[in-house]
Amino acid sequence: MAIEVTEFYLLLSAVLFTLGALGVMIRSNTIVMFMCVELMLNAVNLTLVTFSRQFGEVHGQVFVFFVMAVAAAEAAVGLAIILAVFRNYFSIQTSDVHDLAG
Amino acid sequence: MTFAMMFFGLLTVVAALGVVFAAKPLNSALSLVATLFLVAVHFAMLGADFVAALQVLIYAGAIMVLVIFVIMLLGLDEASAVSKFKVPRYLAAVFCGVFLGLLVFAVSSEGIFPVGIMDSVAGGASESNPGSPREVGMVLLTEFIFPFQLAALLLLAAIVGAVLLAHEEKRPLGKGRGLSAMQQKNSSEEELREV
Amino acid sequence: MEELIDVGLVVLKAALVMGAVLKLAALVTWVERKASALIQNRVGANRAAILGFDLAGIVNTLICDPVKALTKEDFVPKGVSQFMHSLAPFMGIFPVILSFAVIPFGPPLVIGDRIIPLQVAQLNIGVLYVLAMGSLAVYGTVLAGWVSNNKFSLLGSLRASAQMISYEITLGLSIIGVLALYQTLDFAEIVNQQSGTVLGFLPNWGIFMSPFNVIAFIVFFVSAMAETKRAPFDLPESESELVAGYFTEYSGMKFLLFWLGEFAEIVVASALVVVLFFGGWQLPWVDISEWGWQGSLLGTMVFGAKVSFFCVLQVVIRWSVPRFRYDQLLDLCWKKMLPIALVNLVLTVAFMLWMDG
Repeated sequence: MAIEVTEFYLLLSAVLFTLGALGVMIRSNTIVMFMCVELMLNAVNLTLVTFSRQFGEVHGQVFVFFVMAVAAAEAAVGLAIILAVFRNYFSIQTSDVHDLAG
Repeated sequence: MTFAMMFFGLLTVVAALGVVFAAKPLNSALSLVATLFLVAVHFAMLGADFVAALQVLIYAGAIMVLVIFVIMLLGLDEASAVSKFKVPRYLAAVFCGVFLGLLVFAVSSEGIFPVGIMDSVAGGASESNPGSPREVGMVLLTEFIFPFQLAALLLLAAIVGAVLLAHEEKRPLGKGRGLSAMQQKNSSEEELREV
Repeated sequence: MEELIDVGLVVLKAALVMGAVLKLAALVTWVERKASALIQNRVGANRAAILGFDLAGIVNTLICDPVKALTKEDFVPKGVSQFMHSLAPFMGIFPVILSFAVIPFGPPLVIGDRIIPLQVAQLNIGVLYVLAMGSLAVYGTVLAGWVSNNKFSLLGSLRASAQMISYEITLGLSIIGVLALYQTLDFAEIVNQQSGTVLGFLPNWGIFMSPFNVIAFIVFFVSAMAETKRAPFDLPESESELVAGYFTEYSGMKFLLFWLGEFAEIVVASALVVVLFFGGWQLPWVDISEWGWQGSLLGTMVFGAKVSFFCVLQVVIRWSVPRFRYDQLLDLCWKKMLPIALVNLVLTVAFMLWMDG
């Protein structure tokens, strides 16, 4: 029973992580890419909690806490960067921000 | 594995598909809110109550509100075309398919995990409840006190950085690429949309 | 069979609590109209009557208004998603009602050898759960402003999201000290700890547990009022600037849902204040948890009375204080209440250490 649950959640988080990676690769809107990164982080969180339950230890959940703290910091800085980019280019499409592309 | 787990698992995948494939950024964001909420449900079903509450409080309640705030502030809710600088779609699909296949293989095959780890504690795992705020807090504030303080420092740095990046010097109206120019652009866009 | 009864009891409790919250919210709308009339020296709602009885306006506000709203045209502006437009009011009211699930409204009811806690769900993360639901409440507002395709609505919802995120921080920070005193996040446990007296004569309620809890109460109450988005914090819908703010484009039952959500938020805020600071269902100087089913009934009534008092207090404040300017609103949160809450936290912890010797 316990193994089955663990495997189910590992598979689920694998699917979520892959979807997030796919999103980062195929979308060109910076905000959507940012959200796909959040999706990948959440897939990892799900894995951590699953293993925390599997081993009956609390450490995995502590790691999730730190991932959330880092994600919050990332959101603040990332969105500020998006705001600054928009101010200069009036767009947040990755294809429009290519001054250094030559 | 219960029926509830299957059901919510399926919902989570559907919501995540919405994040990746929704045409408009705001629909993506709302799908992500649903995904995060459903992940919180999974946390609760795995016995991690404290983390589930934090998930809703921090992710769904704070980070995503910030994202939606930015989408609304900048008026960015347009369907976006595929850019020429991105990875081609078929390549991305192939890569992700291979990656997912590897992960599934890793999870389902015997012998990937070190021998005995999966079996040794599996029996008593579901009996104890290590997910209460008291348990997590005890470990967080004793064993992990140094990373905890570092996380606080990181958040402070992030706040300062965000303010520095997003702060705009007040300029006289109608000059340069400041807020007023942005507003003009937005209003002209809205006129176009109405037409 | 046993399990069936348990599930049935939970469903019954959930239905009862939801019904009670909505009834109370509807009653607050009546109080609001009549109290505002009293304060402004008017008569207030008095037009509709059944057989000549208008029951002090109850017929008007509780029967005629909903019927009118239900029969009105449901107007959706051009060029917006019908689905999103309907989703917004539901996302506004659903977390508010959900957050009532963890609030204990009476001492456990004992029937035979079955103990029924008068609380829909006893969670060990109760306080965090309510805060999480409160943080979800902002989506209804934000979505409503966005899908209305209207500048006033958009401005209103931008204001609302900034205001609600800011005041959530003080809302959470103000009660950390109080929770440190209780040593638990479980609401049932919190209420149980508030029985008896302190210093011999004061009831052992949260607000009297430490000399600094009064500060915590004031900060919490102000933040909770800001979360309900009503005057003096009604910038998101300020009718003299933004028509009606984020629900400008809503009519009929959808508009009424926003309104009901706002009043349900008042009820939830009052219930939180009562549970955290004013003893929940505890009656001062008397321990009613030993009285059997009469105690449960009395406890529920006491809880209802306390909640009603704070609802009326919020309505009176709403009609007595003028609206803030937007910069004043954010200054109050970030430059005044946040430092106060932090200092209060330090003082409370220092007090705890001093009490422990």
